[in-house]
Amino acid sequence: MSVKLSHRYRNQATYLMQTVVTIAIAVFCLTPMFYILSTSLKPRGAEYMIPLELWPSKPTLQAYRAVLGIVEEAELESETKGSMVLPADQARIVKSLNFITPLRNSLIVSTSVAALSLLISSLSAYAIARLRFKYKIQSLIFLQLGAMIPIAVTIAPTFMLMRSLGLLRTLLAMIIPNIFYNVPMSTWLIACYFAELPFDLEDAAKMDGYKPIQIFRKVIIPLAAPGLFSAGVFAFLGSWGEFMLASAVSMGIPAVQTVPAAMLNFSVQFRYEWTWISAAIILSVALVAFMTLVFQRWVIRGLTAGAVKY
Amino acid sequence: MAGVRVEGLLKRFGNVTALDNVSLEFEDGKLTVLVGPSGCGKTTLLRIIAGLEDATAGSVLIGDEVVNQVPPWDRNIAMVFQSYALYPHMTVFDNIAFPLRARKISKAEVKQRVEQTAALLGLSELLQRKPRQLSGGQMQRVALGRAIVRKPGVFLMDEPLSNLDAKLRVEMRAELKRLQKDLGVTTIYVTHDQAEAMTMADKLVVMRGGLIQQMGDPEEVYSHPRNTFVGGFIGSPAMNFIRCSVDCAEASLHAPEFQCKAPSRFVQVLRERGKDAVIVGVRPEDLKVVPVRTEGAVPATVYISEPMGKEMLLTVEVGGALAKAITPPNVRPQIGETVWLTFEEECVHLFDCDTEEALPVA
Repeated sequence: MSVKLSHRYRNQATYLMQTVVTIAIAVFCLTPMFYILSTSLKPRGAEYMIPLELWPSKPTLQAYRAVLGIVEEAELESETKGSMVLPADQARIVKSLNFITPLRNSLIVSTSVAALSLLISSLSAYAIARLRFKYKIQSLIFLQLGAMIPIAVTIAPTFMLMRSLGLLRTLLAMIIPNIFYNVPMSTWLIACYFAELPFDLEDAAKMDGYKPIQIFRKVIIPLAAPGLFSAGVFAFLGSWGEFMLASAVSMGIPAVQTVPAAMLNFSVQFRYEWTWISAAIILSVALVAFMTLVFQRWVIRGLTAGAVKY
Repeated sequence: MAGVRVEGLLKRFGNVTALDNVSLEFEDGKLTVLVGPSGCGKTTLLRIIAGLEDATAGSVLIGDEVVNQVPPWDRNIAMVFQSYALYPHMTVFDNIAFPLRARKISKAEVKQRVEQTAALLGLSELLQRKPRQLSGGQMQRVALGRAIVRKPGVFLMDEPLSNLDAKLRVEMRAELKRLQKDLGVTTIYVTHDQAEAMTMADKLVVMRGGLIQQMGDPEEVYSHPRNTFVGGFIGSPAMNFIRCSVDCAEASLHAPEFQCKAPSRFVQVLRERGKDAVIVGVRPEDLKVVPVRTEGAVPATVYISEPMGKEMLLTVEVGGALAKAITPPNVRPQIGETVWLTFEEECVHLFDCDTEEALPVA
């Protein structure tokens, strides 16, 4: 009886401790984002008010409209009392604020990277998971070795390659390298799903009159859709947040900057406009956070992939 | 419809020889069963005929055309797999329609043929279901439907009933045989179940170790096994074997506590070959158990009795070996009891001790 009670007490104590630690970590991680969100909803200049407001008494979307370049100059002027920016610069500031372009560029780059890396990865994954050839496992390992080289090491040769191809200051200079940054991980993930499919299905499709490429399209791809989706989500999220290459190849041109590179410029150019910077941060992470929440099941599948033998 | 022929087929996987110079003809319109234990090469042979494996040497002919270089999707062969291999993301309708769509047949004709095939197999109510919503028997019929809807020249079936329960297997056996007779398509059927092989085959091919042991009508193979392997594999329970010494002068066969006259049809060959030992084979259903000693009866000690409902399966010790006998259900001797076994001379098979081949009849 005392052993049972002690066991039950230990379980409850463990559960309580786990809950407390989880809440503490969540608070630690989420508090900064909460404060950024709160700041983004304050009127311009309100971030300097004493006492500090944890949540604005009158939340406003003015900062978001300003960052997206859709705020009226008159509205901006009325809020600049007490701001650190001189009135003569108001028009220039309003015109230069435009976070829609980096958001659009990031969307184009990430979507292209996801789609094209899926195309390449699915073909190589099929070979690794379904075909018999010498040095199959060594090929997969060799592919992964490439992914282990940090981007900081490859950034210079990649930059020079894009320059010699005449692709600097274009979105292609971000799309092409990001595809190949993602191919190793995507290949591994998709190969795990392909490996689980029974070989009988392919044999049956051959006997039904289908050639290998048709079988790949009509049987293998639909059945491995969860794996493909996971790989696509990973590629999208990974390329969205890629900063080093994006910053280097865009060379400071706002028209071709993606969100991370534009964010750096923005925070330097408007370094005292905390409401605007906060709004830009929220816009930068909103889509990614939404996708991670909605597709968290696929993200977790991707993280736990690799448990299948070839 | 087309006959199939394989000539001199050799298949090696590394150092393992799966098929060793196999030559066979599968008659047009007939159901030929390849039977044998696991690893005998029957499935490998089937897959080579299908084009899913390449032969190391030898030829495969469909009709009169050598098809070694023809890919499986061009061979006009349909195959039913042991696992059924239904496409899980497609409905029953789409599974059956899949081979028709590969041939760019019109939607209207696809619909008509699928519905006809579904009606033939009792699947009309299930067309919109997915494979995971079907029972084993239903999945098996969908796999069949997918094979027959395209009217191929040859059917290949790789143990299609082995995943079904015993009762359903017996039912489907009869249905399959009837379907094959109605369609008249050349069918090659692989199984490890000798009962299935015997009931279904127009022609039986027994294989072991990549070699053909015997081929012929099921009755012929059953009544005249070519060696002890065929004798022991075909028929259930298996044929009993007792090693006996031969007295050529007396034309008699002897084993510990066992003696019988050599069948007259073997006497000449026993004397010509000067054999001093042979293997005697008698099927359990040919052994009669009598309560008292009669002329020619041999004594046996009951080891165990197994009631089977309509008959009793007795295991007895005779001639230094264990043997099985099938008796009427009311014969219930006790363990350790002595019983007397009789058998007809024509039911006795003799095999060479060294080669295990059946002795020729004079």
